[in-house]
Amino acid sequence: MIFNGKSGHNEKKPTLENRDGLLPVIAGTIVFFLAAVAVISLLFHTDSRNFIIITAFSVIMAVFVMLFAYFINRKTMDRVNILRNNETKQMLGQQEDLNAKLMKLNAMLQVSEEKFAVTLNSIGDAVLATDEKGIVTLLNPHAEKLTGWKHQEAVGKPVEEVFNIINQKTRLPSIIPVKKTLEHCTVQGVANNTILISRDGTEYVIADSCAPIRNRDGSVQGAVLIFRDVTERSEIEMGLERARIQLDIIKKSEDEAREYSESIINTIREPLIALDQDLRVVSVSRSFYEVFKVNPEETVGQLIYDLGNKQWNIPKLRELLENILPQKATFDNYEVEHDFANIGRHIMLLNARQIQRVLGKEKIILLSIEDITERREIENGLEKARKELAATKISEDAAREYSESIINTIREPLIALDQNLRVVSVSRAFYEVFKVKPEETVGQLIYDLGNKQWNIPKLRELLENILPQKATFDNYEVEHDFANIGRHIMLLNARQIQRVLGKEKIILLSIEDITERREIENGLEKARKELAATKISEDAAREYSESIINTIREPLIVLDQDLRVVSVSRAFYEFFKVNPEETVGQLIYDLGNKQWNIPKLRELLENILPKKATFDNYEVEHVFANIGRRIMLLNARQIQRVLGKERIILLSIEDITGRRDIENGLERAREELKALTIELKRAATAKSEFLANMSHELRTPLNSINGFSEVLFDETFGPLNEKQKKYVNNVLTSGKHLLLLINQILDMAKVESGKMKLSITNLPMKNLLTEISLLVADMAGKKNLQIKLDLADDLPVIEADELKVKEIIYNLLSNAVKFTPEGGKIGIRAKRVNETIEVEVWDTGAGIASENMEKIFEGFFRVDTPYSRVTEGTGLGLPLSKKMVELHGGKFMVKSKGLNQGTLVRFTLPVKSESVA
Amino acid sequence: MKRTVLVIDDNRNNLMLETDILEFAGFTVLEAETAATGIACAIREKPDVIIMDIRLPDMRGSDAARILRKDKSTTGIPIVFVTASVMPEGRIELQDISNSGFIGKPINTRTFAGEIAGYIK
Repeated sequence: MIFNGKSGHNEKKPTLENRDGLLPVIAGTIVFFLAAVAVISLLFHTDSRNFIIITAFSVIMAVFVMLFAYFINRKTMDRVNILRNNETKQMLGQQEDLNAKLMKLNAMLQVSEEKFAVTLNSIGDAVLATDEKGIVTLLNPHAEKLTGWKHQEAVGKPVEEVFNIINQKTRLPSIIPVKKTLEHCTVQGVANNTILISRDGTEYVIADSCAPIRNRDGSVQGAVLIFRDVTERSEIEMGLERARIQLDIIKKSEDEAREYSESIINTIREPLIALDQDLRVVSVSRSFYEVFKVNPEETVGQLIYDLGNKQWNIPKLRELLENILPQKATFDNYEVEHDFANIGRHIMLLNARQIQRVLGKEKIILLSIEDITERREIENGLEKARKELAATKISEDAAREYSESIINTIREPLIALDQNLRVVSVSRAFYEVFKVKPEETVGQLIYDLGNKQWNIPKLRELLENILPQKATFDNYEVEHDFANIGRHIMLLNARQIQRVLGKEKIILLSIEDITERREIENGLEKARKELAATKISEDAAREYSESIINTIREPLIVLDQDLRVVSVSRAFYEFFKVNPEETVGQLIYDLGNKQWNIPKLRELLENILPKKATFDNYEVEHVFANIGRRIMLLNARQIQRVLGKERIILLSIEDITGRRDIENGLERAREELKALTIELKRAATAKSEFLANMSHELRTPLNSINGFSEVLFDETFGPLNEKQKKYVNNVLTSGKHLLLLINQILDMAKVESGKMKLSITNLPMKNLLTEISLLVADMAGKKNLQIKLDLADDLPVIEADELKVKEIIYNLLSNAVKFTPEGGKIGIRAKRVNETIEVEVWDTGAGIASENMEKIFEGFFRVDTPYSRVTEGTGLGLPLSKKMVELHGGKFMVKSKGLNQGTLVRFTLPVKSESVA
Repeated sequence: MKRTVLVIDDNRNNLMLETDILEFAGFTVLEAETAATGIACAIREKPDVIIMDIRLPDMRGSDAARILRKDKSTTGIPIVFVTASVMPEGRIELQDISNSGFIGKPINTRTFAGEIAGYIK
């Protein structure tokens, strides 16, 4: 809607075009002038000079005209432009105004929409709007709540989907008012008895009304449905309805009763007087008038004795009315004989009843008088009639009297209040319970009773709010601290009823003091719970203990306080080889043929236990006839029998005979072991010392032998001849052999006594093996033996004792050389296997017979072979090597297929030493 | 200046062997057959190194060595124990004596002199 100024501009022609139009004009003018001049000059035969002057003049004139036209044109164009600009500005301005107005309108519209929304939302009722087709266009929050649909969800849906109603009574779907409104374009008034079912199934009783939405020209655009939740109101109304109906019924029956009694009164042929408590006539039956020939005016209000000119001033009547009746509310067949002035002597039977006028303060005395003088004649009829009267009277009054007697018989206090909440009457019980006097109560405002004791807010609530709405209220609980009697909890039953024969309402309040009852109930509840709990735990405990008794392997006896067996666990029978029949009831000492008559047992049961209810680990040793000598540990407990007064003694018996023996045996063994250990230690020490001494003693002379021989052999102090040298060499060789032997023996001894210590270093195995094999090469060469070296490339550096490892390798290699004949083969293989290295020294030599496999490790073992003579070994090399390998944590084994079939010695050494030095 | 060695050993053969080797190697050798004589000689002569046998008739070599250590004049002289003991117990008693070492019996005649020289600073 925005006005585009530019477009307007394009509609007008620009000045340039006008200027274009101007040029032809100018050109035309010039031409015209020139032409005119030419013509004129031609016409007037002017000479050239004048012709030139005229021409010049004309040209000048033409120029002036042109300039004039030009300026005029310019001005005109400017004016036109200005005008145009103004016009355009005006139009722009107008357009801006329009825009502004529109924006304002939009804003206003928004505001009113918002107002509308707020209004809708604040309406207490639910609003649902539809278009003319019955499609929902709007739901306010209340409507959302009741229908269970959100506004956004509901918009666009047909109204019957969103607004789901049924009839309250028939529970059949109802026609939605919207439909009717749209059809008939009328307002549909408030509908009752409709239930709206919400989306989640909740039911609301609603009252709804529907009106059409019309637009300007009066056509229906849609409908707006307004509804509200009247569930409560409906309930209250229904309650009221019920109460009203009840009341009507009561009224009706009362009226009926009243009518009935009245019709009886006036039907029966007997005279009947109703007196108030002052003995004044209240009403009198027709027959009375007839029989006693008195006028109504003369009777009503009169004192009975004054009736009929004091005809009724009969002593017996006085007697009845003033003495008997007050004591006994009913007196029948009271015979009175009297000489009436009017009618002569009559014998009459009187039935007298003193009754409460129903719900009233006065007493009424009903006197029925039967003239039995003429009895004979109408005896039967009278009899019947009287009976009927009595019966109907009774039935009529029964209810009344019944309620009367209830009122005064029940132990509960009862108050009757009028509609102003003033006490009309109060039962005897009330006075007694609340310790108030009758004089203080009747006529009082209930709240003022007993010195405003009854001014209880809850009571007010009941009498002034609840009762007026709900004619009956039972079990209304009131707790109150009364001045006279303290804190009491009371249940009130309240009834608001029509006073019989009157318009006023009466409130009956029956009060039940439940203070004590409540306390008892609470106490009972607690006690019951406790009892239940204890019962459960008792039963559980009993079961538990019984299952223990019969599960434990130990014999268990239960004795009563006379030491007679109450019960015995199964284990007891089995263990002591006795019969159940022989045990239960028996004195414990008599058990199993007096086997249990043990002094120590007596001691325990009769002396110890009474003082100390628990005694454990009581040892008894006894020779039983059935089972022999036994040592037993007794645990004894003296306990109260659960829920009983008697004591019970629990004896658990553990046979420790076997255990004792074992213990004794163990003790002895321990002693022996101790002695042995001491002995061993001594021996070990002795051995150590011996070795040390031996070592020294043997080495000292060797020092001389080897030392001197060596110096001699080295010719340090002078040359030797060949023989001398040979001899000296022999001495040295033997000496060295002896030294080696001594060292090896000492090593063995050290290893065996566990005193051998390894000095661990890192050994590069490949180098070491190669080195030693070089050492042996000489020896091997002399016998023409091939040495094969098969060493793995990844042979690692191991942690081991260098000296010992070298000794081992040297020993094994030299053995191989020694025991392999000329031209044979020997070799070393070495590889890594996980965390160890495996070294094999093999030869093709003499081998080892299987029966000798064990012996080769014994030391100094020699087999008589051709090789034994030339060997130099000490006989300890192999056993020592094995011990050394094992000391490192490795394994050592020798394999041979048999004599002359070669030998294989394999040992392993761990890469990482286990014994870190 | 010739280096002096004191050899303390109760065995005549040992004495003779060690003395001969050391003299041949160029040492001046002093001899003692008992601990007491040896200690007295050491104090008097102040040798460059003392060779001590562990088992001496009057006291153990290690005790004699301790005495020498206590005496100011001999406290710095290196002591080399010559021992036949192969048991670890034998070594233990020598550990607390400073500036000492040991050589096992029987001695290696070819290296003996060199080893002794090594102890002299």
